[in-house]
Amino acid sequence: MNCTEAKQILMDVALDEAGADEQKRLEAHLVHCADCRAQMHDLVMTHKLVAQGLPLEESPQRIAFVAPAAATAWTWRELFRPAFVASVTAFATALLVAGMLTRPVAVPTPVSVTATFTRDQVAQMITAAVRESEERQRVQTAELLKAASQRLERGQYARLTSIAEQIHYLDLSQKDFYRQQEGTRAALVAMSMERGERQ
Amino acid sequence: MLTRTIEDRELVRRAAAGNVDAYNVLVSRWEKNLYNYLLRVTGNREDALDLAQDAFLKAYQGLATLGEAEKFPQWLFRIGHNLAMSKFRADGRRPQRDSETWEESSEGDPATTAGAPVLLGAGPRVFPLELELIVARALEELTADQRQVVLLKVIHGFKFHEIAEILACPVSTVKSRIYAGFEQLKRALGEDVAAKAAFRGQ
Repeated sequence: MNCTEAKQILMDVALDEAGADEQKRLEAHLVHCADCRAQMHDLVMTHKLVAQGLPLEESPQRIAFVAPAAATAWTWRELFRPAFVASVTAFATALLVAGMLTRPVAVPTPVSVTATFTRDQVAQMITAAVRESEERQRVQTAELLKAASQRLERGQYARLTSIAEQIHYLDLSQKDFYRQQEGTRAALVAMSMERGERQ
Repeated sequence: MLTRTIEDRELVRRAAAGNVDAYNVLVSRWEKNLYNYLLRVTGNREDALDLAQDAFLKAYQGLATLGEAEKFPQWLFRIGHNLAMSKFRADGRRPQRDSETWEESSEGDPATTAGAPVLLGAGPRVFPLELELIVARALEELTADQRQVVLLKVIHGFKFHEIAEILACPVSTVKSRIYAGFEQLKRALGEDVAAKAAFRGQ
């Protein structure tokens, strides 16, 4: 192989596009041709520098597709979805109403000083009052828990978003800083060259 | 994540049969590559992510039309590339001209005047930022056409004939663009003292 032939396939070999046969013939030529060897070195170096100087950046967001709803996996996050919360609340209310309708009716007898109650009646009234208050407390607790968890989630989300934003801006400003430095350096070099005092 | 023991081809076959999980594995394999290509082509992270998402969706919808499953990567890149070019046409965008040395080989064609490359490096940095700046600047001096083939070749490892499929042009065109682009990169990087230093530091 002579230099003219070699130069035609240098690039292909450097870019890993040449056949094994061509590659072998070129290698044989490079052993005794310093000029072609230097050119090959430059090409390989260029390839390496470009590959290493352009690292792959992580995508800011994962891309994923979801299967039709029926096949979607159930996760604990569902607990906080408004639709889920609403349906649970509706169900609980229905239970409560059903319970109220079917339990022994505690007739709100007009309180009168002359009214007399048997021991059993008093006991029943007390039980009913206790049950009602317990029920109220349970509902209130559930609502408080729900509100607290929503606040917590919102807070966490806001914090994470602000951290992500800060990191992003820090990264950008760092790059700007380096770019400015580069610019300043270039300007200084240009200036010093103008003055004929090149360092 | 599944290991590479399952070939892309098999995943494409399963995804085409309606298996969304199989498609998600394919997505996870290719999203970083496609995103980075689109990022270099558009010069904008948001655009790159949107385009990548659109490309994956379009690819999923058209999986049945993909005759040879092993061609999925170049097919996906072609979809992404075309979406990016359509976006440029729709936006009537011009390259960010921050360099006097910018040369346009075909004035007025949006496909060749797409955005200039961005300076990146959010991942773990193995190499000095300086090298990234030097390479980004050298790449900036290429025409958009040359830049695309250089990226597809050097960064994404596609073969000439695959790049021809992605860009829908003859292999000879790919070759001439990459030869010219590479020669220019070689000159630009060879002149940069810092690039040489970075290389010697290996």
